[in-house]
Amino acid sequence: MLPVRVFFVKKGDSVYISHLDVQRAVIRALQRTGYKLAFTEGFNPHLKLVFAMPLSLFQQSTYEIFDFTLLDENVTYDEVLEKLKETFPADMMPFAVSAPKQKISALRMATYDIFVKTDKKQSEIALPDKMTVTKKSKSGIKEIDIRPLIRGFEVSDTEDGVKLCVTADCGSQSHLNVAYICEWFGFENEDFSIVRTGLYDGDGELIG
Amino acid sequence: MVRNEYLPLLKRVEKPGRYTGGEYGCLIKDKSKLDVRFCFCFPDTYEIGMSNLGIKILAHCMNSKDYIWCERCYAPWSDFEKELRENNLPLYALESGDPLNDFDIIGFTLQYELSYSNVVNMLDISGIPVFSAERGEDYPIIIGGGPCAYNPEPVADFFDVFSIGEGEEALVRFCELYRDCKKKGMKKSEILRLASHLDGFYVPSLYDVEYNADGTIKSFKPKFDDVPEKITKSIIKDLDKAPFPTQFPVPYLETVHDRVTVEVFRGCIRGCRFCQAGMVYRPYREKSPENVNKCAFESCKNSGYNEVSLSSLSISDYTQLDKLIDSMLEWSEEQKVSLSLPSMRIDAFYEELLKKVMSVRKSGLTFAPEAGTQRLRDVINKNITEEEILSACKKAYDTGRSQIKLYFMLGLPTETDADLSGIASLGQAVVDEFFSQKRNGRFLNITLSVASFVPKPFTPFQWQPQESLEEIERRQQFLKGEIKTKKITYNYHDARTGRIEAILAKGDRRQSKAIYAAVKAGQRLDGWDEFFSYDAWIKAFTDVGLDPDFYACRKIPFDEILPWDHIDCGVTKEFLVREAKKAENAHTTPDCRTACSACGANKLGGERKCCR
Repeated sequence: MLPVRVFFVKKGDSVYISHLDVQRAVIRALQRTGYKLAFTEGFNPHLKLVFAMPLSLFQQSTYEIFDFTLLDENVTYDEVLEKLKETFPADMMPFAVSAPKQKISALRMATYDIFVKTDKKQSEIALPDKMTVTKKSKSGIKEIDIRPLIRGFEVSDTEDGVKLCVTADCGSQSHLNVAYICEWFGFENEDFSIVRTGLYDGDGELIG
Repeated sequence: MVRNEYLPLLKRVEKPGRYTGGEYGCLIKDKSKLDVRFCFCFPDTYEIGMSNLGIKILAHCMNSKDYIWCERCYAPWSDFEKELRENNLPLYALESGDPLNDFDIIGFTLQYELSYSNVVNMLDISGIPVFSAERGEDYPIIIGGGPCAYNPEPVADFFDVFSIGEGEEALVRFCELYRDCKKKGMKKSEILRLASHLDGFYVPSLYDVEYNADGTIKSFKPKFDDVPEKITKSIIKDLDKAPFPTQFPVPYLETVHDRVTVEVFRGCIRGCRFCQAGMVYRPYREKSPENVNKCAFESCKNSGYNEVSLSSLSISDYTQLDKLIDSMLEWSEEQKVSLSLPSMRIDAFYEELLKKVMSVRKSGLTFAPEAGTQRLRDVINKNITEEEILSACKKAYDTGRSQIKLYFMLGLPTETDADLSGIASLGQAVVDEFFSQKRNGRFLNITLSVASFVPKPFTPFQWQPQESLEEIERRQQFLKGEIKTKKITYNYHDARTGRIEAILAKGDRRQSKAIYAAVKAGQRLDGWDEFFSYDAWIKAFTDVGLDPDFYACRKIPFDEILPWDHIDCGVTKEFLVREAKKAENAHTTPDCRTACSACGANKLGGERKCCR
């Protein structure tokens, strides 16, 4: 059994699909490789496949991760990468393959570049001490302060607006969908685009 | 490849992945090297269109030619349509992102009558004049095909040309003609005139229809001598030689059928009298098991799908089914690919299959008796007996299954209340069979699904009326009253959808005005409950001066000219008349393998495996 960690991007047309669609696309791409893949045991076997963290609809990424297990141990990670490049759609292309370093559950935070079309300037955008947003969930509407979940925040001017470099909580323990930051600042959906750029553990090390 | 001006719209709609393309396996060609740009429009949503095998086959045939690029376009959902109209943006093809009007040829597959409003709407959103007479040289040629093209008259005024029958070779031939004519600088009308000389092509503008005072057709004649009086459909004589795609775009989104579909044979030997498909797809032609197996294997390998469906009208009639299953099992179980065999007869072979194929064990058990009494089953020539059904149910119960579906129709010709009671008692007999032995009845569920009969062109019942709405509803309620057990779930569809289907199915050219009026009044996506409006459609017909009952509720005399008489689907009218008369007396017709009934389809070619 060979554990494989795949690093891939999500951009272009694949921005418009949900995480479930991404999952489905990855499963099919893996099946296209012809490799013997590890399945779970039990009544309803499915591929042993774990994603580091789902990415929301409309969000892009240059650093996404999924782990799977190969039954064939006689293949190198370089060979696997070359094979995946043949079977993955262009907009979700893997760029690296290696043995997993940290466990996926070590994920604690992520970095994002948020490009906003706006008349506001860098000097006008600052993080306050409290940022309350309304979160809609199945159990109803909740008011949440997202400020504690933001660990890093830098703003710079761009040609048609600003760029926000954000580090925020990410993972099963504590997670911020950074679209809420844009919502808090009053930016419209069509005026901003979010790119996730890195996934980190609690020590600030890139998940590798 | 979506143009930038559409990106803000995509953020405002549900499932934007419907409109972006970019799927693994989609084909991008170099525009500068092309002579023909073809856009294949499927008049329903992406999720439905991507499950359709026909468009995959035809796109593959055209894309195999270097000079043709066939791209895809699907009907927008109402939210995207609203955004397109508000922003004055046209529909576009998924691969290039180019608007529909940029294309040389736009093709629509006519899958079912209620999709006609989508055809008109898609043209309208794209700024293309909906009536062919209003389209000049600047607009693409609009071509139609598919099952409803056997009676294309209701939409004839919207189309420049129809490809009748199987399109693998025909569409390529049409593109070739188009390319050659364009090189010579010929006009659209000249191209269409030449197209009418090709086998299987129908150019509506080259025909005149005259009507009698009572609304029936007086005459249907070509305008010129070189235009054929009758158009004979195209067929592929040898299915093994026909191109079949093993590479195709694999959707990101979840679609209706997320699996590989491989055709096993075309046509049908059974001759059920209500079934249009069983008639118009004749003659019966099989694909070799080696070919089917190869297509299935390659398609799974290239797509990553883990389910294969073997498609045909009646899979049990495939002469080499055991050989095919065995060769598929050699690779499918190991690769965790499950097999789906819809339309199987439940017989001894099926039992063997259940033992061999793990995945088939998971599928539900379905029968389609279609009628509740043997008398009525004989009238419609559906050869299944109560004994067969009960014996198969017993076997299913013995292997632990307790979910059974039974399909019926109501409103069939010669039907009486006694036949409806027959449906209920058949359901009851299926339930009783379960309890005839000591079994745990907790999960027993028998579903009786009853649709309303719609008479279709090119069937022996094409001259029959559909029952009135009130009568259908009375019968639906009567049947409800006859069912005495909670173990039976009774499903029936709103008869109103069936009524509009019946009006359009037997329609003539005058209906195009009504279809246009319905679309203008807001109708589209009529195949979806949330959008279909019976009242809007009836109003559209009556507003343009047409009587809906004229189309759906008349018993038509055998000698009347039918709107589809100029189309030859293979099966002769004489055969259909013979069958209609036999039906009146509940006389059955054996299947083609037992005895040839001279339907006439074999004159078109095919392997004639069933004709002695």
